[in-house]
Amino acid sequence: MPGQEDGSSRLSQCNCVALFGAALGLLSLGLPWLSIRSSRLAAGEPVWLVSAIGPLVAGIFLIVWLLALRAGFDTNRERSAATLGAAGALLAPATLIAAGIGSKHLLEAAEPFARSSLSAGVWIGLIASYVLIHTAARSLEGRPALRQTVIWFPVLAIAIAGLSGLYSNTSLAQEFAGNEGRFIQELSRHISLSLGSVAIGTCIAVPLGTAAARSKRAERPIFVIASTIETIPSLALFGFMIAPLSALSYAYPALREIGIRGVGTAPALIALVLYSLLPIVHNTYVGLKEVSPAAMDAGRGMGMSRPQLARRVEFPLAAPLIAEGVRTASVQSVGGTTVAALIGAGGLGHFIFQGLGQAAPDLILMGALPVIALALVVDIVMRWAIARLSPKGLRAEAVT
Amino acid sequence: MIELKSVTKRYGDTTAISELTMDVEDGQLCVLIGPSGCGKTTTLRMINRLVEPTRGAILINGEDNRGSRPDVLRRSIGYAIQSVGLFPHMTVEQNIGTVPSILGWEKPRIADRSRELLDMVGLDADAYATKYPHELSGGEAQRIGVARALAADPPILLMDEPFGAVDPLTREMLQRQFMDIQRRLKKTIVLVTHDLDEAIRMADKVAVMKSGTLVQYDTPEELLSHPADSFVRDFVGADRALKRLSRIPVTTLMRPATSVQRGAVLSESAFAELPRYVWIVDKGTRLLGWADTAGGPDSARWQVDESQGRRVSVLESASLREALSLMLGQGVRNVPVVTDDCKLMGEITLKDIEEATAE
Amino acid sequence: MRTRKAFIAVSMLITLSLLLGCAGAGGKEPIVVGSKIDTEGALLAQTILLLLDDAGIPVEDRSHFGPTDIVRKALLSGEIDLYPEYTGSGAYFFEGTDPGIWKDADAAYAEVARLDLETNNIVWLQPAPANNTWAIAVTSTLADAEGLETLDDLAAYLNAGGEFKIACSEEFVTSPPALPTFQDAYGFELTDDQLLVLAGGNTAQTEQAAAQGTDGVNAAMAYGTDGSLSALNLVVLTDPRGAQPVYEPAPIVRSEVFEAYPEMADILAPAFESMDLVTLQTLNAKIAFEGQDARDVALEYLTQQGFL
Repeated sequence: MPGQEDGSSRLSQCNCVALFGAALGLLSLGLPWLSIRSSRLAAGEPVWLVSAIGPLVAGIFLIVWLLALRAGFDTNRERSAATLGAAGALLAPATLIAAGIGSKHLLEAAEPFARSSLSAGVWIGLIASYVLIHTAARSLEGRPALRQTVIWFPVLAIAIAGLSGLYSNTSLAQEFAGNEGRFIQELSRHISLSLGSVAIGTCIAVPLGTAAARSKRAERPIFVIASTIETIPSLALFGFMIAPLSALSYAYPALREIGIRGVGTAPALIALVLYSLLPIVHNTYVGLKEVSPAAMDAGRGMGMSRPQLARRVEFPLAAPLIAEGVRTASVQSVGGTTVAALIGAGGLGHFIFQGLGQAAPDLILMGALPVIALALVVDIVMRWAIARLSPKGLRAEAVT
Repeated sequence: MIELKSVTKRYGDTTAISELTMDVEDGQLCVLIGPSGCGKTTTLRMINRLVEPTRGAILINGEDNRGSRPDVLRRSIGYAIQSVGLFPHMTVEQNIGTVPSILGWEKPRIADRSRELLDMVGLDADAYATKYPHELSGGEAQRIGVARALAADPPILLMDEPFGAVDPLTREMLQRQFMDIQRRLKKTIVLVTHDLDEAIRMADKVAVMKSGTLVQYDTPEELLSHPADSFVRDFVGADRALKRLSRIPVTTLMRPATSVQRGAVLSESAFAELPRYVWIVDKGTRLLGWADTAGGPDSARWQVDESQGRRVSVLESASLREALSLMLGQGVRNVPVVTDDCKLMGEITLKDIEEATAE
Repeated sequence: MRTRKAFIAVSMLITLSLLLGCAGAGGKEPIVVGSKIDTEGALLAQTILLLLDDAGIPVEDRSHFGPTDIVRKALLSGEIDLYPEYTGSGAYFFEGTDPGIWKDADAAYAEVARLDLETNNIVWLQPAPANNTWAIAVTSTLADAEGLETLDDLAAYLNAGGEFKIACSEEFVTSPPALPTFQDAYGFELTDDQLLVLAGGNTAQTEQAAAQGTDGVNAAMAYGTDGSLSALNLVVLTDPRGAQPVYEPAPIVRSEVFEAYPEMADILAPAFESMDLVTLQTLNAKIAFEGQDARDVALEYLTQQGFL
């Protein structure tokens, strides 16, 4: 309550999430920020904060994190949220830029093929900034302009800094520079494979889910099969696909002509389609079952034929849940597609396995980070699309 | 006209409806009533083929209702249920326009019709057309359910406890409103309810069912005065005489009331003709109160309680039941009947009521 | 209504992107060049791509396709048309061959070329004279201290009870041409605690382990042409008794594709002939150690040598 000065109640009112973030941020200052290695393959030497970015900048970081810590105790929600938001939004790009510039200076003094990698301090600093941004955004629900600024400023700042080459001396950026063309190619393969498989999966899964919802007899086998598929480890499933597809493509050369062979895109696509089935089947089933029986009875009684009932009442009402299932399947698929690189289908996994093969950790990151980012982007875009496209009547119902 | 001919419905070994035969004339409101499980809802749902009879036939205007596809049949029959079943993802306007939309009406015509129906059920069309079902109160939702059932102007309406899910006050208002609409539209209606008062108040004819059979099918008056057997007698309740009173408006038995203007000076002969108690009115015949003439002709000495006027009277739109209730409550033998703005119209006496209800 | 229309639009968009992503090949059929997931494979694949492209033949880059068996299957099923393979692999691909053949470079090439053409309609082109075979590399510290140059020296050191731990892959330990052959030929036997088996291990990881001395490792499984050896201060012990089969890289291509472009033999031969052991080691080092792009390294080499 405003005005209370009692210490224990202040602690209980504090923004625990913000405190956690600030504590994490302070911790990140104490961890090694960069790792200098004499070559791409050698072991790295840790470089601590002050050596990495200089005492002045380090001092500024320390002050900002301390301010964030203090803001966590601030009982004035608005002021606290603004401080945390500003702190997080500034710290995230600042951490990366400082690391980038620090790398540049360190490499000037090092051997010709030395590499500078981002280390634990940077990653944890970024996570801590994210925590601050997240909790500030939650508290700023009532100030949409400020909220959007806090969320998008760091993203834009990081992107612009990247494009203007401020990170170009980090090992990660150098790996990227060496593989740019191939990266675009594999990224587009990854996107089309993961999203394409979900698109195909949806066309199969929605009818299956509908059948399961409509017929008790169909329900069990459909769910048993879909669930079993889900439990098969992805690499194993990809592997299973190879033999029968190879045999098929040898027996029927026409299949080979259209691109269905034992290795490559076809087995990966089929396996990914199979994986996308369960979330969509399940959500379709639940969505249809949850349609209000009163609405169904009214619709029938008013003279809707079965297809009309499905088209005008059942599916529009089940649609939000089905869409959520598609979203789940999509995010899952982005991750699952990573393994497809092992059977020749390409995708971002290509860099992960290449990095493993060459024992080059930053190459692995170059593959792994985009996968994570892609999954997040797919998730955010789909959530936004679902919210926009949900019938208004249901949207409000979901909130209330 | 709806004719049920020996309709039977069996579920496995259980017989839900047995040899049901009854007719509903055009423009009549027939109420199906009975204890739980008597089959009234099943009967209703057989008319629009949501349930198919095992034996027997249902004719609508002379044609077997199995002649056309069930969904086509239902588009010409209005259907309103207790849980309303509004479509949550559609606006009120879209909900009401469902059947017209299926029938292929053009959008402007549907929009106009929706507004017309909203007016008919007493809701402001501008305010409600674009609302969503989750924004409506129970009473509003039920009214829109009725509007939706009437949208394509079907000759027949089937209603299953359409006013069930609201509080008694709202329900009474909804019933009254519906009766107004029915007076205008004269639809053929079959309505299922478990509330006897509702049946008595609204029905042209009442069908009492028990265990799947029709026990009595009569007008409410007949039902109440001559219950067919002990079951019906118990069902309508021991207070059926009182229930009958609720069907009779006070205006039926009203007789002229003797009134005197306040402050009027009367001659001795005029005074002598006055009954023991007279009603005191103002210049505009507004009822002010009553006076006991036993105190002599000096009007100044008459006890007039100006606050009584409204308290001691019944509105002209009331039923005999309310008149009787007032008499019993006040311990008097007659009550005045007034208009909405308290103008004296006449009076009702206890004796008249007794004679009217004698079985 | 809005939901449905939007859903249709979005799914059409997705299907379109899928088709675009998978299409790739448009117009005249390009030659699809693949490779295994290793540095040298990438280098050789890029060499092939650059040479063919320079000669006006349409190509598609599918290098780093997958592990050996996946790439091989891809070639056999027509998913890819060409990739660099090692002559010594013939011993795996074909059963019942005389092991002695594989120890001779020319004989090995002739045998695998013959068998692959007969059985699988695959044509083997001119190989590079570099033996990229199994090898054991030790830290230069150990080599200097104990005077180890050949595998004979190693055998002597081991049998005298010297401290030794080698990082290697499962395949190295179990596959007959690998460790067992070394042990038979040179008369030593490694115990279990002298082995650090890395799951799915490749030479980059084993060499890094040896260089960093992880877990007491002072030796690594290596391939002859590995680029990181000198950078990590590792020394390859020579094989004077010729215990190992010869692994020379050569482009192998599906015969239908070869018949469509027979000139590719002459286009690729000179470059491959020029790549001896030292050349490949140097080029590999540029990719693995310096982190240069395989394509850039190939381009630089080919331009310098006048092949482009």
